[in-house]
Amino acid sequence: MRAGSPLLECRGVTKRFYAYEHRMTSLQEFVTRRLTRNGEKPVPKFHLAGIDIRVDRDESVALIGANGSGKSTVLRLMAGIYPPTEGQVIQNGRVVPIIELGSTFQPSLTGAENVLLYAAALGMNRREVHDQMDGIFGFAGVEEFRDVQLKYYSSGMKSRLAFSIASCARADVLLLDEILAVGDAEFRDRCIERLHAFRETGGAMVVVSHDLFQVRELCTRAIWLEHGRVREEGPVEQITYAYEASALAAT
Amino acid sequence: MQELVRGIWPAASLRELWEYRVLVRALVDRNLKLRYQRTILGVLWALLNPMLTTMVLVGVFQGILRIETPNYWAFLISGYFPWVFTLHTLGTAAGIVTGHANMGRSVRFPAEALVASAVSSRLVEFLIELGLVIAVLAVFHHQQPMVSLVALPFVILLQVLLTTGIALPIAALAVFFDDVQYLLTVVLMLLTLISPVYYPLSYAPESIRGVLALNPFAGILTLYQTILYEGKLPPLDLFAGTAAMSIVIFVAGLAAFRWKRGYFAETV
Repeated sequence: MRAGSPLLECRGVTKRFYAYEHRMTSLQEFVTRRLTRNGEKPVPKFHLAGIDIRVDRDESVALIGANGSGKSTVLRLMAGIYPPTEGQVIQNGRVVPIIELGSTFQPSLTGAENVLLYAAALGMNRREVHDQMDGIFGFAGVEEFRDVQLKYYSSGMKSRLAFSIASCARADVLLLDEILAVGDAEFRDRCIERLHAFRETGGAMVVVSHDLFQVRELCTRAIWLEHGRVREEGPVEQITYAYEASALAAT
Repeated sequence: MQELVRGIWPAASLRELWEYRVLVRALVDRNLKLRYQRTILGVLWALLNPMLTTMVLVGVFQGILRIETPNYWAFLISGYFPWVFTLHTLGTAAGIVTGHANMGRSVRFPAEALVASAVSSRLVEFLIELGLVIAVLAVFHHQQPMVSLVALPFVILLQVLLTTGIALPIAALAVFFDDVQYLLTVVLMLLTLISPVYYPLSYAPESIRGVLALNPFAGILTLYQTILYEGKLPPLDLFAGTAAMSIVIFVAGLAAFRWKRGYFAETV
């Protein structure tokens, strides 16, 4: 399973975010600082270091860790949304990030119009969207709202629709950030089923979730992040239990 | 597909935009729908505002300032509508990347697509206006077919290149500095006054005409006025000079945008 080139690989990835004590956001400030040369040194606000992760075909990897441990940042680096400060991210397939569900949703457009926009942002073409339109609305269970403006949807309907679109994206690797808290139990089961089907056809997943029960159900391997570093990595059961034990010990 | 290319080489942008053409199209559709869907007159609003403005401007410049250009109204609409396209595009572009902060942080796509969508939706409105301007000029000003119109598509292309070339770095700067938008308002107002929109470049004294002509939009507007108002094919040297300037600014603007593009997501 480890043979061949991985679908997605982070090699020695480091990411530093800088912050000024008083964040410089005006051009005027920028110029005065340059002129008077009393610029304060930027301080690294957050630091992610030495991340080496390999994701192979039909593998499902969980990223777990406390808030602020760097899970979402790792996901964005993998997706190519953030450039790494050092190191490399190598993608050998189509990597589709599903980080914030429905990030392109527009309240005054209809459901169908929003499907087209979000699907296009996820890299689908017009034909793919039109072919799957019925399926997307069917899976979300909002068929009769297709031509209704999104502002009349309940929040549950919106996130079901968003997940339904996102999970239709043609992908080799899906990067999922806390998106499985969607909808009711019945809908969640169908989501999980769909993700299993995706893996069975050779797709890989990286899952960020605080729901360790779900993580164990969905993933084979887990990576435990702490303060921007990999603390432990291994089979999902072993790592999630170790993480739970340490969280319990801390309280 | 999909791998966004690093580096500032602008040809890569065009390839990426082609791959994401569905997204650009969807964004343009959205822009236009949002602007006009809840209005009774719909896209007519795109015409109404500039038409009213033109009437007031003609009244002021012809009736009060007594500009002696024959058929001044025809001169005015030849340059005013193209200029409004540039003004609106730059104004929209300044907020386009920051206005899609959520999308930028959660989906991967070339950020050029946002600027392209701003330019394209404004272009659609401009082309509608331009159609009306041509019709009015043909009927009331030239009263004969305007052969010079064959040159118009090339001038429109140059204006799109030039305007996009300036819109790109403005959109990028606005990600990092909040006061770009305020500064832009002032700069655009000054640019309007020194551009040959309300007066032909030939009105300016010989001594400063050379300086005013350095403004890349002076060439574009004069080209429009030659074709639409005078009904003549533009002189080749003016066209070539404007084309060279527009292409250089487009390439440089795109390179500047790509240089900082990777940092948009973590800054907005």
